[in-house]
Amino acid sequence: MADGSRCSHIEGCELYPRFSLRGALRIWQDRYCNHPTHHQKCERFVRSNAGQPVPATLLPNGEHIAT
Amino acid sequence: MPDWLLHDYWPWWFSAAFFATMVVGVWLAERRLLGVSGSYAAAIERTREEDEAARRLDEADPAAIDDALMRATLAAFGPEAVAELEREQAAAAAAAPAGPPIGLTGPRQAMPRSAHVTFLVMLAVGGLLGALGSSGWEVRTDLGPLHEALTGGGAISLLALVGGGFLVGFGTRMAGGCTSGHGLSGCSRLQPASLVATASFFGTAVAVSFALEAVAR
Repeated sequence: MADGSRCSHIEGCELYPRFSLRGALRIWQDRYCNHPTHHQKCERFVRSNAGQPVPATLLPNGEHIAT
Repeated sequence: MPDWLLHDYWPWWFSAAFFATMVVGVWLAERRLLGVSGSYAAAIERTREEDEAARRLDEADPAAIDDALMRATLAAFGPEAVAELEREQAAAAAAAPAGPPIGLTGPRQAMPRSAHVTFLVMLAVGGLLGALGSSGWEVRTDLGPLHEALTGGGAISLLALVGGGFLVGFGTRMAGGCTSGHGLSGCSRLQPASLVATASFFGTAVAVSFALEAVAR
């Protein structure tokens, strides 16, 4: 359900809402989710499209949130 | 129970109100979009790794997640880029004080696999109850006289149904949703992709129905 300019997986992404909680975290949205082309480099996007598991802690750059 | 609920098909106005209530209710209660194929995929595809990651995130202290996210953000982009973004945001906020943010704004817990399974089982139970309460329930291996006429019945008819089900599943995954996800949730939000997908579903169904009827005659 994309508008053609940002990531089509935003609606179901478990991390996207968390990136809205704090101003500095929105850099992920700017650099990945809402970027017209870079969202295709998001590791979550890539894995999802490849039918691979997408852990909730996986960040767009392939790192994990160390909880 | 009222008579109109015991017919083969519910009246259109009742179905419309019912489905609208369900879609809006799920959104208001859970902030999630209703979608059968998405639940099905989550129920059968979700791995132990995903379950474990979701559990860790759900059970962690929100402040700890916030700190961990900030550390990861600084490591990924560097303190200068983050500081620059914060300056831009502060300047934008000062120039035009914003109202509440639009869209998804709160953290959302991952729905456990058991919730997806329960949803899918209840779909079948609801269908069974509806059938028992109206025209009755019976196991069939055909889709009616037209289907019988085209397939000849028997094993071929059953294979056609299984093959059709496979194609529906394949198309649903390719399209990123089914009639509930695109037709109910997507169209109600005027999502362009869902409007196109739903028009394709129903347009194809109408065209194929006419074509099959013409072939069967």
